[in-house]
Amino acid sequence: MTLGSALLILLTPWHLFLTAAGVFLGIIVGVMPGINGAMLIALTLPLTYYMQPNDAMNLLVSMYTGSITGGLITATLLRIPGEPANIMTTFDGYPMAKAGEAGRALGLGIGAATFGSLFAWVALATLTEPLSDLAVRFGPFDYFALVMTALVLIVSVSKGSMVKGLMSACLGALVAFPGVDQSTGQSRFVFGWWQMTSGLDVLPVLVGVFAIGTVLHDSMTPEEHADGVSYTSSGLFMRLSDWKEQFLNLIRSSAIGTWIGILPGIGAGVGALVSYTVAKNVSKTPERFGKGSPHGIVASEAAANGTIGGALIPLIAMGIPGSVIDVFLMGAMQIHGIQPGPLLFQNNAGLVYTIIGSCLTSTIMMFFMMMTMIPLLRRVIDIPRPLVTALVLVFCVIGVFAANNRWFEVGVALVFGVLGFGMERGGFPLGPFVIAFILTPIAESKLRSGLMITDGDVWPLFMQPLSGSLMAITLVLFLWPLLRRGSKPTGAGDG
Amino acid sequence: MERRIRYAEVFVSLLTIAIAVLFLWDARRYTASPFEPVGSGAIPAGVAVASIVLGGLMLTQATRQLLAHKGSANAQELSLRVLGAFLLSVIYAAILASGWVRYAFVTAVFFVLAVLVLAERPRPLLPWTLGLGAVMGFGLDYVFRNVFVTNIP
Repeated sequence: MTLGSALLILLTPWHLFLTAAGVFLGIIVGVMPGINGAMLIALTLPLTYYMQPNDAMNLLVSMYTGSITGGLITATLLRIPGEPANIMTTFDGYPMAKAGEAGRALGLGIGAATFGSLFAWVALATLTEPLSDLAVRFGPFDYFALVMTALVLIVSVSKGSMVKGLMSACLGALVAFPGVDQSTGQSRFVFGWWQMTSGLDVLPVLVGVFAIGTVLHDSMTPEEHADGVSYTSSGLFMRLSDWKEQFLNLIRSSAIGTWIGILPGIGAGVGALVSYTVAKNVSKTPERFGKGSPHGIVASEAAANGTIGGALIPLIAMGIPGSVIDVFLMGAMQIHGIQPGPLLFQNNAGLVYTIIGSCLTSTIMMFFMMMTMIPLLRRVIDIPRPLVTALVLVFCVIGVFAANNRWFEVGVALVFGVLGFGMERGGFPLGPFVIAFILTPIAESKLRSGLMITDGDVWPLFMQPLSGSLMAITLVLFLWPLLRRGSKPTGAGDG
Repeated sequence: MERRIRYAEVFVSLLTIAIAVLFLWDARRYTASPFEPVGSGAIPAGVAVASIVLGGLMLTQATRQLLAHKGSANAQELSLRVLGAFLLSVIYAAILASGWVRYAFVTAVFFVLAVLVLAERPRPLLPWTLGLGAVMGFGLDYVFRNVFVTNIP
């Protein structure tokens, strides 16, 4: 199969329906604060058991695209970002809308989001295969070092303290150990539970931590109500002058978003923040940022959407998730017995091209839906939260059960729901937990394979060019918060 | 607010330490072989030790801050609502697992009760709650049995 034939399949009525449904649901959860794309995908995972892998990935990638973009509507019209990715948009989108330019602010946001997504798609379509070919040549130590870099990177950019991030990652790693040891075939850490012989299933753990834990935590925070601004569709289509004026900003921000997406574990929120800061720093009128600058909206939205395609690159090429949502895409592949990684291109080229193609079709679908459904979407935020919470809880219980017909896994999801709730409440980042949970088995097996090759000698891990460089980067990332604190003048505080 | 975060930090730290101790204790059973120098227990044991150290650090920090800043936790009502919703979910799952009552009925009742527990003013939500409860119960019952062909109670 080629990318062209995958695109042709994606244009058949069934796949267009999946794309439309995925983008629509993604936009809806993107609009609603308290529910996010990761949660939607976690809740949809059980249904993908009953789907073909290509259909499942088409649906999930479409949800991903919709969820990152949807929040820009409420961020602009109500100053309520539906997703962390849209926080930067509130700074300029809302003031612009308040000044009577709501249509133009939304048009700039939707145009930039579409451009950013398309820019990243080009990178995804062109870079993934060469990178995958390169990754096939990685030795076990190289791969282990890459996973360690990914883990420490996500810990270092996560919210909260480094200790909390590391604790979250360690906890995720610990719960990944039970089950049959891949290297020896020995059953370990099952503590007498025969149901754990094959390990803790991805689905109940992710649903528990991300859906049950998060939705319960969000029920405790008061609902946000804001004074909205009136909306007219005037200026919704970006003018030619806007395109010309924003062209450099669009390219730069999309490139930043794509690059940040490629970096393992870092998602759209960081992409938008970095891009916004760069745009402000290079602007001739930085004082306008935060007061309704079109450049701010464009920088934030182009980068946030650029991370979608960018984050899929390491996932497909190396089996390393580029963002937390990619962990769920990885989980969906594992549900269908497909192992993400460098061999994915060789073993499942059709699936890879479906993912890449879905990224394009969902972007186009997202553009049309966003342009036509703004009045409806702004009302979604009025749906009472208790209804949403109850709905999510029902889906969690029955979804997890339906996936394997095992009540044990519903119990696991509820236990991990308590853990997720506690972690959210205590400000522990969930990203390191889920990424460590998914990547630990790979990291462990690669390290042990490497040590078997070297007869237990650990030095080649640090001496081989690629693994050595990656371990050095890991060390710097690990020590960076300490070094930064040390370089601060006395009294500067912890930040 | 601050105190409630600290309590959550203490809870997660204690849980992490407990899980790590359990893993560390169990890891003793998995020894290395001449063919596989690391063994099944060494890496989990290493992660468990790191977890205990980090958990200990966090526990000390959180306890110190709890002792330094005294005060009462507010928004207790919200906590009780969330606790109630969670306990309802556990009961809902247990009843479904027992197979005594049909999925459609239990789900519809659970949905309505969960909204009543979670909502501050449930009366205006009642029509929506009853409608959605019926859809979630009887509608999903039809979908799971006839579309996904799942063996639900």
